[in-house]
Amino acid sequence: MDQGLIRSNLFIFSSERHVIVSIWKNILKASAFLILLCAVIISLNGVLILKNQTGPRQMEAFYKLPNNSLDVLTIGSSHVFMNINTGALWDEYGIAAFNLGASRQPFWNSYYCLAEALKTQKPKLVILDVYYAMANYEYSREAESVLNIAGMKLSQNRFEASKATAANYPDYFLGLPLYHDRYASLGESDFPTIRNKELLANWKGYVPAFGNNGLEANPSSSLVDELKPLSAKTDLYLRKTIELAQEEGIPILLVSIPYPWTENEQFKYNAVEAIAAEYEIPFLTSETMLQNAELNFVGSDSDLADSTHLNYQGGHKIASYLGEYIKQNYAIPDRRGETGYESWQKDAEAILLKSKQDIVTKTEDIRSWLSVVDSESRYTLVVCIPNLEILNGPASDLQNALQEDGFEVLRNDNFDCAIIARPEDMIEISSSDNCIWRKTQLFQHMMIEKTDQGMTICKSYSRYAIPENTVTALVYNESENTIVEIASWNGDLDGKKNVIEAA
Amino acid sequence: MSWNAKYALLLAFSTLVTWVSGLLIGRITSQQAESEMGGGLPNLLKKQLQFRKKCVVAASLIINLGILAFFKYYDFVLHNINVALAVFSLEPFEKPFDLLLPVGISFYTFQALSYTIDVYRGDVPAEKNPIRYALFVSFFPQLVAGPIERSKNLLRQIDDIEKLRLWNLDRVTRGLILMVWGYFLKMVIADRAAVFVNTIYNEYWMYGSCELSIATMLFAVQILCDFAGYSTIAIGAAKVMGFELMENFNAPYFATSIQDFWRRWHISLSTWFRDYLYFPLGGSRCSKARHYRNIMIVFAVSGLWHGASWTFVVWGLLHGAYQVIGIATKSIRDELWKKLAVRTDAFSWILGKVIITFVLVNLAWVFFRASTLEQAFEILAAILTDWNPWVLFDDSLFKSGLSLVEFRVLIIAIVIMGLADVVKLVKGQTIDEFLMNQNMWFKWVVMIGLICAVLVFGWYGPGFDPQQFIYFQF
Repeated sequence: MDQGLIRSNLFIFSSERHVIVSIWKNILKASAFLILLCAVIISLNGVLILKNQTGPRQMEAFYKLPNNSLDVLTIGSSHVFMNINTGALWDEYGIAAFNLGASRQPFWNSYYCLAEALKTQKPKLVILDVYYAMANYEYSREAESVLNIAGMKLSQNRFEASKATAANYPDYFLGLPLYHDRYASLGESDFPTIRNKELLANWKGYVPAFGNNGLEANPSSSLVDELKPLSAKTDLYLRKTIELAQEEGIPILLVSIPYPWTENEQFKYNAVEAIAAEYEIPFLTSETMLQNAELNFVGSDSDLADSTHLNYQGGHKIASYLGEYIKQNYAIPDRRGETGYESWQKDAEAILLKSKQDIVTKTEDIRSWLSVVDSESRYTLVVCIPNLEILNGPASDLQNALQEDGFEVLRNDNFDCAIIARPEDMIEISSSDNCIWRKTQLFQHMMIEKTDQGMTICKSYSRYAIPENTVTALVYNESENTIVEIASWNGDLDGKKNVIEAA
Repeated sequence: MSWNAKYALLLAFSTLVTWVSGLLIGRITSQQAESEMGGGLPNLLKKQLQFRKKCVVAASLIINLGILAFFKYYDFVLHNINVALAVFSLEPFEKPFDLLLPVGISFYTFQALSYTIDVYRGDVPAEKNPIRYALFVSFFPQLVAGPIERSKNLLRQIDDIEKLRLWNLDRVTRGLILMVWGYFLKMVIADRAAVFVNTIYNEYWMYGSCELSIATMLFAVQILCDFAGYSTIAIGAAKVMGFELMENFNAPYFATSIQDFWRRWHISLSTWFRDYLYFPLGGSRCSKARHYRNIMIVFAVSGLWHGASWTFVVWGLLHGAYQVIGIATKSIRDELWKKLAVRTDAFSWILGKVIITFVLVNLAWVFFRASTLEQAFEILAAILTDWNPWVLFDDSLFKSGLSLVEFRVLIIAIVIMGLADVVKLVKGQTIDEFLMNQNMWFKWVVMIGLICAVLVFGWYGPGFDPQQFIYFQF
């Protein structure tokens, strides 16, 4: 063969090969860049995304459930996530329930929540709270709408939900346009660390409230029979939600968890009742639940936390009633002790711990207070006595009682003060140091110091001044990295509790 | 300023008029050339042909500038006539209709006119293909706010469109870098600065010297980042598609004189005025008085081009006056520095000149930003007399639209922009050129950093009120 032709063919082959290699190199480079860019944007989104316990956190926690582990799914507004105690449902009936609610959730958001939930779960019962039957607008306010969308994964459901939620739906679908300006208010919990996973714990969607809002009388608006039709959009999505559950063969239960509802609202609930009858599904009205759950909205023992939500006690009553109703009417298994349901047990315990906080803050007498705190091993208790005379005098009984319970006393004669704490919370500090006691573990920095100005409890940037001639106690919840309360009693220990706030 | 489908007809009409006039001028030029080759024409015929050419150019100028003047200056002229009539207690004219300024009209009119004049001068041949010519006038990346391209550059590239390599990774990357940089300037700096500037200028009587001075300096930053941001996005978008547009800004706040400033600021407009107004008026190759007059005319027209208001005219005249005074006193100043043994090559001297130029430019920006002349004078008076330096040390500044965090973001972003300008001054490279010469990891870190900065710190989304590009209105 002609050598020149071979050389020329070789040249063409080699230059073509060079071009192909160069194209592939460019494609690889561009792909690597795009992957890296996406990874950084996703991380940034993780920091900036809303972490409210009023929607986004519920959705995030929901995605972490093992597939097909959920038995009861509740959807709706804050009337779901603040009123149904999932911990009590577990403790009392072994029901594996999850509140997938969000603030002011209208039915169009409930519908897409259900659609998204059904991608990974096949619950045996769906409970829909119908408080937003009264929604008569096309779109909710932006501040609430965003809470209903932000937690959803990028998916067709999120796209459709965004379209139903707002006119500027691309912003909702992408999310970042709505919350990118959160950089100005980022806090510790926004940065993903091992610690934050615990800080951001979500108790199967339940957000307990501990207020007390006593009314003069329980509501009786359900006596009205008149019916006011729902708005077209609300009606459409209520029906779609019911139909979606029915298409999937999942029983659906409509509930109206009680609050001081008005006559005008009852007109709408009557319309819901008519729709429920049309689909032959049960509807537990406010009146029914108020009576059967034995809720009380009157006086100092009210089950209301504010004007429309139940407090922890009310939420417990609702869970007890609903649990009983569910057990009687649906085939829901008792999951207690089953493998794969450990998180329900853990969350139920966390809810109970949270409820203790309420008891602590409501207890006035020092001995009762110490007894409540001492009974909870997950609390860190540190008693500060800024004057040794008090330790040797009025507080000596207290000292002895605590020592009997295994507490140790750290006397500091140089600074004329003392600390009483559990041995594992004790730390020896050089007497030349102002620091009397400290707790410095990962992400937890607490210290008690004494200077010429007096004794101070320091936690991160907060300072709590301990009054002279008092016995002051600090109770700290390690799992939430929060101070439950810093309470102070005068030296005689017979006075009223004084709660110390940060300076 | 408005976008309306009907206004696209204006663009089409402008394109048609300048294209036809280009063809006519081209035909007359060919006739002239053919006759020259055939042994020359009688003087009378030569003059007739030249006269016809001038008539075509004049017609094109009158029609295009007429449309621009009608839409942009009708209200301004009517208002001033009514003010004059009021002085003589005469009945004012009623406004017969409301006009909205078509978006980008000042830019595409100037671009189309430059083509007509270039064809007349024989600098470019007449474009025969109407589609290509229409693409030149309406080239979308720079249609609404420049750079005002020259036919010599852009039309030639459009003519060579077949030779374009669509996918060239380096070129596309450079274009994308420029676009991201443009968005950074616009969304992170300009729109953020605008919040503070608008708060202060909208209620200027509430504030003292420090707030007004800072607001004016931030307006200088805002208008640069707004306009340079748009230009950079346009240049980048064109580059992605394979077209090279002219540079429009070159670190203008590092200018050492007002003349230098205008070599760096809105270069496509400055050179337009230089080539099509300043030189035809006689430029600097004439008597001093005429030279000074030419400068003042160019800057007064430049002021009017920016907006139909006396504040813009005063802004232009101030810049003209700066230059006239600068030229007139140059020899005296040089002599003085020599006698005082001032080292004019020292860094401190250059820094001083940069600062003085920046102050003079800012002084003029007060007129540019203020709504009326009275307001501008009140603001200047407050800056000079109403001293309140304590606001720099308490939290007052952070109550004027931008919180402390936003101020921090703004300052860091301005420093980043300053660094890019320093690179430009020291290495003579634009940000895309500079990054393409760096190691891959550095290039990627900067690009990802800029994209994330735009996504996170950009002033966009329902929570923000994004400013429109200021220069769209001109």
